[in-house]
Amino acid sequence: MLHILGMGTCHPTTSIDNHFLEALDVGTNAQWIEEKIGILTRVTTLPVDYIRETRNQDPRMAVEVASMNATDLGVRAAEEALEKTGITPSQVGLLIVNCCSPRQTAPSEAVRIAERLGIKAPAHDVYTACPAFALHIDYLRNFNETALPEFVLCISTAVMTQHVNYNDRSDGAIWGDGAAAWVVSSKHTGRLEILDSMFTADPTRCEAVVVESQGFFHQDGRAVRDFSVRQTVRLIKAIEEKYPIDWKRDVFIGHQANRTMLEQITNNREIPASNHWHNVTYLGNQAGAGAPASLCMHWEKMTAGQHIVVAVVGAGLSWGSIVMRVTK
Amino acid sequence: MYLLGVGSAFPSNKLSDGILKDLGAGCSTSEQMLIERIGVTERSVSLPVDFVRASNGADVVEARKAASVSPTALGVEAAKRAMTQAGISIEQVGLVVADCATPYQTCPSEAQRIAGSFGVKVPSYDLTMGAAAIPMALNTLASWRDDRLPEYVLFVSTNTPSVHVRYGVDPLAARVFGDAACALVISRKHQGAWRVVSTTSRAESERQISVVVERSVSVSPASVASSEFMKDAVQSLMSEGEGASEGYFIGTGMLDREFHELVCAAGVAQERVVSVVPEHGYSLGSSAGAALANVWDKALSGERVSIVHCGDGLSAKVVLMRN
Repeated sequence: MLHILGMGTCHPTTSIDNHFLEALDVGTNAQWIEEKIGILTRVTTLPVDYIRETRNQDPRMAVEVASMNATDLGVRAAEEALEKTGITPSQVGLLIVNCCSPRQTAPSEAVRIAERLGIKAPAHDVYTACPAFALHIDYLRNFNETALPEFVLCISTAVMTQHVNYNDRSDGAIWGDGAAAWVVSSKHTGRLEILDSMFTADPTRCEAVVVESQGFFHQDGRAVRDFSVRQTVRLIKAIEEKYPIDWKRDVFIGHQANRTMLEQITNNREIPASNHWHNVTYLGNQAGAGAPASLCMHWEKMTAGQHIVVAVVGAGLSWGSIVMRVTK
Repeated sequence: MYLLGVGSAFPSNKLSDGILKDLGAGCSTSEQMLIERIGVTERSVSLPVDFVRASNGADVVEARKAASVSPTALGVEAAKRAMTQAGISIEQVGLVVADCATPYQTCPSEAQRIAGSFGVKVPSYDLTMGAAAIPMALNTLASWRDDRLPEYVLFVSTNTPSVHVRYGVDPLAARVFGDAACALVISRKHQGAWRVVSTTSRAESERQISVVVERSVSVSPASVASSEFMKDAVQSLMSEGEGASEGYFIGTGMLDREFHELVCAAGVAQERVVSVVPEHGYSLGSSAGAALANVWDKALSGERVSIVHCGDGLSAKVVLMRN
């Protein structure tokens, strides 16, 4: 049985609001953004003056001017997760990382972060973009428990604002940057016990969400939104049929794509707002980091016996879920 | 666990030492010493030779437009060959895993692009493991529970570093890299031509990053494993287990010629150390799998092949035996 022992996050401090995006004069306004996607602010590693002046028309320039890259964010989230778990980098026996916006495609993001943290254990990327939280847990559940080291460090980190064309009225409003990290063990018990997980994909639709290496993010917005809502609802229904989920007690965390989409999902499954944990409203869509970051930010609110249901979707197209129980 | 099929693919464009010499920029002494340890004489590249001649350090975006084949297409070609050899169709594959250090897109994953090219709905994601991709992927899958390993797993490593090389500007990278893909069909439920006998991996004292792919690809001679480290690591890996110095040997690292010499110095016959690097260039994790495809039909029943990785802070070995 796997447990999550501790978590950490890191987000850049620069925040841009909807009025800033309205002032870019690209055919959007603050009211439209709030009504359509429900995001009020998003955090970015880019300087606001750079966005205002260039609209990030050369994403390769973004890499040069950004205050942090995906590795920086991942390192800081990992440091917090290790500290909260009470272990040191030398105790990490395996590091796996998900990153859809690496500055370099070799070495792996995991190797770069391992080098920065002084982790000498094996490190590799386990990658699918947005549903990474579910993939990482499901990936680790594949292993014979004797083959897993005492502590596994998982990280999802993304700087998607560096790949945004700010002349696009939707993309600029959606994306934020961030990282989340979590420590998993099969040999030590923690506050979160993993009861179940799944991950799968439909690669026939892999062109629906794309990030060009050295280029822009682009997506088939309507198709992705429809897929996201339908698939997340299916994932939750499957969990409701298998586990004694009580939404008066238990908690739902979805892919932090946008708040209106999440509200469509929670309305469908009659999940009360108090038991829907999210962070997209003020941080934006942080790709694979959003859902685990949201869990981390609500860590102190967890109560013993509660189920935490994570249902995440994204590029690939791929999707997955985790069912956890709060132990203490 | 068994390997049921192995496939490889290379682009058809060839870059000889002569063409590179004509490009002008010469190597420093330390670069020349490193080139000697690698031993590449010709490279298979996805870029047309005329583009290489004219590019003079062209940006990766321009190079991708000129390339005859993408990493995804190369990976698909290798996957088709592996599945043909295994006698299965893509519909029978329960998991597609890919390794790629030179993706054209960082999202979706390379595995999803490859599976998407086949038009199948199948769980797919990337395990990016660098030069150690083949031994580490087999090491990983061998550690999985029976009930979690699908009937057939397709693992693909595909890399086209040539599109990141600044020809005419970086003579070291120009001489080192070529493009390749390899694919393996793996199963625990069905016996195949090769059985995975053992897998080992261990972290070394210092993690060195010798190859970086950003807009351009670069090699850091100072970070490449030293000759002393290589000698110790190869000797150590060759003394592990019964019959450790028997059969065929494949190295995964950039220092191909040095690996070849060290293994031969341990008493292994020249023809038993197999590599595609001298004639196709070094293609990160893909080179070892492509070499394995060359051994596939050569080995006799009961013969072994050891795939050995030493460098980048990691030592790993997988031993296969011909059924």
